[in-house]
Amino acid sequence: MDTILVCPHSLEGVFTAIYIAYRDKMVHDNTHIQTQLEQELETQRVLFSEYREIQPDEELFGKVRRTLIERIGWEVYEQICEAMAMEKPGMADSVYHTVVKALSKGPNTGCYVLQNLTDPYIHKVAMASQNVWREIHHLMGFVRFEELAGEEPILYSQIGPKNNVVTFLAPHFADRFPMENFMLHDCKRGIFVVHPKNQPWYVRLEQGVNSIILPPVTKEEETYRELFREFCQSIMIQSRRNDKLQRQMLPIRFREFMVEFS
Amino acid sequence: MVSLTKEQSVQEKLKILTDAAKYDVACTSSGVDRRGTSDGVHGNGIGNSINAGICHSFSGDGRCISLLKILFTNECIYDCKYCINRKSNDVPRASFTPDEVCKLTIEFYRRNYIEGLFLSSGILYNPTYTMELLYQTLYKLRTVYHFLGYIHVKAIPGADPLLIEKIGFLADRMSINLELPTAEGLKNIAPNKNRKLILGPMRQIQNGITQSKNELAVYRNAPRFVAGGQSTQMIIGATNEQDYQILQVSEGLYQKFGLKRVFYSAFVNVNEDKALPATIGGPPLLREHRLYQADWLLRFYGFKAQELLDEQHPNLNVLLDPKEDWAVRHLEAFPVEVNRADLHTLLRVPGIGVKSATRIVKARLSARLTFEDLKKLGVTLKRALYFITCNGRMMYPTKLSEDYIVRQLTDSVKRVNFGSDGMSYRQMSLFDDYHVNAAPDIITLKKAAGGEF
Repeated sequence: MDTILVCPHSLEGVFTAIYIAYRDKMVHDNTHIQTQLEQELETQRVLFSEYREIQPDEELFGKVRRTLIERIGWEVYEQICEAMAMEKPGMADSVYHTVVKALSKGPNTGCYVLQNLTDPYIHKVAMASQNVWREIHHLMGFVRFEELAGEEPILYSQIGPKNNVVTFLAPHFADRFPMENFMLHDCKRGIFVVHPKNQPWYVRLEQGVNSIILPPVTKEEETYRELFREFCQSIMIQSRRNDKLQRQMLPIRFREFMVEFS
Repeated sequence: MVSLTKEQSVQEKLKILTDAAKYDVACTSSGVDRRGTSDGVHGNGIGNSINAGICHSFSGDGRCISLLKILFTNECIYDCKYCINRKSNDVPRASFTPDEVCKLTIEFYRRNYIEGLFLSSGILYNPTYTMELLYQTLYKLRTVYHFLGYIHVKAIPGADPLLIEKIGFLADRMSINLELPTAEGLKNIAPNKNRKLILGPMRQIQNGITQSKNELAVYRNAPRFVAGGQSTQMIIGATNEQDYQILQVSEGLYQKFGLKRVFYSAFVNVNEDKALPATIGGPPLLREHRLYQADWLLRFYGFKAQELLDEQHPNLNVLLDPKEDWAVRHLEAFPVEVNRADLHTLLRVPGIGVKSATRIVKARLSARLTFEDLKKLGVTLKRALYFITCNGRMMYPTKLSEDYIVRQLTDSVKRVNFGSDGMSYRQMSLFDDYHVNAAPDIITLKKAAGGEF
């Protein structure tokens, strides 16, 4: 009989479930991890399986995290984290089985686990991580800040990414703008990344809040928006016009939040 | 040159000087990794740079907008026939001041509109004077505004070498446009430029980069000279050079001058100059595309220009991409056994790219690959299936004959066709697309498909 461990859709949840699967010496082939979010997306339940709820535990999460970084290396660990940012059914289970495969081999081989793309679980994780990384990389470019008036100006940006990537973007922008106050707002998930000037960034969850009240934009903001729109228009070579290529490179879903398309 | 018009606003200047800069191709921001903070929190400037480069937007022609691509001034003492800013043209002229450029860069950068600055310029008074203006701008941007983002600057042929050296320590990438593949072409079309003046600074920058790398090996904090490498650009289709010549020039530039990139720019006859060909059917985009494909083969796939083209066969095939074209002419090297062939051989198979080839090599360590797996690894089987075997078997029974494979490869409806209206995925027709008026006989067709035109 299969056992299905159910946990919240987060790295903490999945890692805790992995810890428990190992601690209770479960047979990995007959054990699966499913997150609550995945259950919502895929409502069908499997007959003849035991469902077990797992509460995320910070200490257990830390243990798994440490082991993983030690055994599979930072790079692969990061790829696994990226895969979990994708909210698709079966992702937690694939991550679980990838981890099992990585840890089952001898020492110093864990970092090669994602190379075995013929394995369906590993393939899923590797492709998801690639997909998510692509979106992160896109957004590093497509995020647009607007300057809000205040005692000190605040740069504010709203995004609506497919995957839960806002925390992956934060280190990049914190490194880029150390002396700016900025805020990244994932309006689909209600997650804020806040970066005060010269201080570390942090995450705030405001789920269920439909509208937040923001200060008005500064006077110069509209000038620069207009200048940039002008720039994007002038840079185009009319005789090479190619809307299809533009759509391919910059999908429509990003444009909602970009000044040059509004 | 005295400007008789009234003072222009920044907006007007930006419009004029962006418009003047748009025919420059290189809008990449890659090649440099530089952090903006020491520990992820504290820093005293603005900006960083990541090796892969970041595209911030895409304009209506599908080209990436990564840098604020502007000319410092479009006033120019030269009279190059292809250039919109030549002195004999009556176009609105404008010049920025260093402060205006810095302010624009910083404000755009803060809003994450751009990845950095691309600064080029027309020649005001003389090359050295112009270069000095560029230097002033960059110096201000780096030291007064503490900008740590990407800067690409054009070196102006004929400028004082000392200025080029100084500017090299401020910029991430420098480029000098070769403009035309041959010295002769350059002489005809750009009477004020000559090949020597272009290659001189190119060599200087190359030496500077090598020296800087050597110094960095010893002193970790030595200043970095043009860390992102140098690039250049050639105009395609303005003169009658053949692809073979162009590719050989590019190969020479990569090998002898250590260039990072050579850009190709399909010629647009903006001036409708009578000495230059008219581009009524739109710029030669397909040719440009094929040259880029061949360029990639030179840089990442271990091909040599001689292998792709030769005197008897001087132009790239219109119907097949350069790698397919090479493969069908070298069927003796195929089929390749995917589970055993080395990386170098795999890279030469059409439908297998750098990424899928490395994936194959890694994945087959732990399992025998099947065609199903290859699909998962990202191999384009539609093209690769004629050239590979998996565990000793081909995917379908196919004939290893040039005619057969060419017909199969060009037959599919989905071949890309580049027209002036951009890409369209309709079926290509010899009559509409290649202006063939009479129905071609079977021999001509075969020749066309075999790339003999």
